[in-house]
Amino acid sequence: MKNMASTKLSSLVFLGSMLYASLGSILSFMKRSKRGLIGFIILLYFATIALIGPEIIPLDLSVDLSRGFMPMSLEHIFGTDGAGRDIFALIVHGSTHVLSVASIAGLITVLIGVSVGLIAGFKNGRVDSALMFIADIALTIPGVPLILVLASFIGYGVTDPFLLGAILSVTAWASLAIAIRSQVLSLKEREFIEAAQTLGLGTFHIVFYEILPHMTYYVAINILYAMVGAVYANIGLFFLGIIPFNVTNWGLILNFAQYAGVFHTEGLLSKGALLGPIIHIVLLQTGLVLLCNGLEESFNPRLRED
Amino acid sequence: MILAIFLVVSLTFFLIRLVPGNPISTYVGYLVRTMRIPPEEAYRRASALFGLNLNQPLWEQYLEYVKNILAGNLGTSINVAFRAPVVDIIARSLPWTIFIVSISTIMSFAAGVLLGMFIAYRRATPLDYIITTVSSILSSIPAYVTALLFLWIFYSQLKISPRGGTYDPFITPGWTLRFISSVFYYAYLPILSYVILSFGGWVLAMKGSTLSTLGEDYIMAAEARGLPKKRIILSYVGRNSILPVFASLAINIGYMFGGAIFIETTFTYKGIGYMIGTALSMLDYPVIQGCFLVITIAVILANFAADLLYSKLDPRIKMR
Repeated sequence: MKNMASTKLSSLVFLGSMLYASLGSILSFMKRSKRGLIGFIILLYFATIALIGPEIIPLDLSVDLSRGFMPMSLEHIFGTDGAGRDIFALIVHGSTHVLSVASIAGLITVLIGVSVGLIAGFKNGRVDSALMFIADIALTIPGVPLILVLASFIGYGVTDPFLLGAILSVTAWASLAIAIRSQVLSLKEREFIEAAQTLGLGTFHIVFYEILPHMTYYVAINILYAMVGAVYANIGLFFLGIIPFNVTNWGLILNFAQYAGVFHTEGLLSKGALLGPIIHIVLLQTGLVLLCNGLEESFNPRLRED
Repeated sequence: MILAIFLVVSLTFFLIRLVPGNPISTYVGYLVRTMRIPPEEAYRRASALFGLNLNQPLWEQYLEYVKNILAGNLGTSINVAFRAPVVDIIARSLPWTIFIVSISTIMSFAAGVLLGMFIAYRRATPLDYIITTVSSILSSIPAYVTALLFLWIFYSQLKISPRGGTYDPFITPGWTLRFISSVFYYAYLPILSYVILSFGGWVLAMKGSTLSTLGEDYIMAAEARGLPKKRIILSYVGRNSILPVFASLAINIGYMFGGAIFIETTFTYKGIGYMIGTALSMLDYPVIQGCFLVITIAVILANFAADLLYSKLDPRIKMR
């Protein structure tokens, strides 16, 4: 039950971060960026199936091998898997976990990246070089292998969205921290910061009222990019069978389809167990990337499509 | 660089030995509970597998562990199917990964750089718009999705590709034409997946770099001098904008090893990614640890080599 509650909570987190990333720019998207608008609509679809889908579409996990790999039809939009379970229902019920983990990972990555970047940019000397040293190391270690190794060591507890989100951010924060630091360093030289310092405003005020607003769009984009990376690694974890439970995870649907012999079924229509998750993964990544592009376009005038 | 390698080595020790629910205590618990082996015997076996002596104080274990790694002793696989020293497993599998990763890196780098420069010259046209969007989507699509799609199209539908494997098991390995063609026949889908995985990133990086080079004064000066267009594109724009892209090659190598785990596992291509992938799903900790160490050290070395090469290619770096 605790897991249920935290999943509900984290889907709210997802919705919140989506709104944060898009609010205020939705209207300008309509005018400025078709890509951003398309991305937003795609993500709206995922938010719908993740939040409302599980209430409407029943999940039947009973195994009936005689109904395995049924072709795609109106009754089963993406057919059934090797054990006769409806693929679309599995996808819908799995979407909550995928999206909440992705958004938690995105938030954690950005939280760590921004705070490390800010601190390193503001504190010169030893603190700065120590933090940048850690960031350099984190940047060098290959992220995906480290995530997989960590998850396999931790084992069963790892399906908890918050823990998994934290693992997925283990190296992703580094590049953001370095970028934020260099932005802080260049902003620090600007006149309005000097003015604020002369006025005797504290570091807290300068950071939260003078510097952070300049980075809002940058932070929003990085939440989305971190989510793209988190979706990739999270589904990959299940695809490799490192966490072989939570049957509704999209990666496990793919893994199971592969081992149940989806490549040996006849015809295009019976490949639903493959196509369903693949379409949803590609669509989700596309939506996130397009929303990113849209944000970049509407906030960075040099990129605007005219 | 040596410091980074040292840190990674220490990190793996910490993970294996100290984290609650760490592999050694899991393995000992498994032996005691499931196999009904007395605890002392179980500890002895675990020590032998991981190359650690669990009775020593922690810091002595750590020294022992570092000494073992320096001597090339990474323990033995738990997996009954292998039952081989981890070093042997890595030595057998790493060449295959290097083979496909290097071929596909060269291919995707060359193609991506050319296309990136091309669309930079056609900036803000519909073609630029389409290629840029497709590239940024391509680089976000997970490697296992691409691999599965290729298997579906080339193996299941068209039947012009094997299901997986590294080479035809009925051909004896050697420098024969039959063996080499079989190697490429089994490698072309993994290579293609790698190319799709990294191609988009190169296009975007090269486009951005070319655009900023085109804004430089020396390009305008070259045009004003009336130099031939071809010369400007190749030696003025091309050479200068490829340098920063080249610098990200090293970072990309780490990314490719991440993709290797998914691609090689999907195609059962017996490189180091496949080894770590199967070891992960079977919780074969010595192999996981060994492969992870080798991958990380390879990435750190690649970064170092790229830094050296970069300062050779761009004399301005050395002057600073």
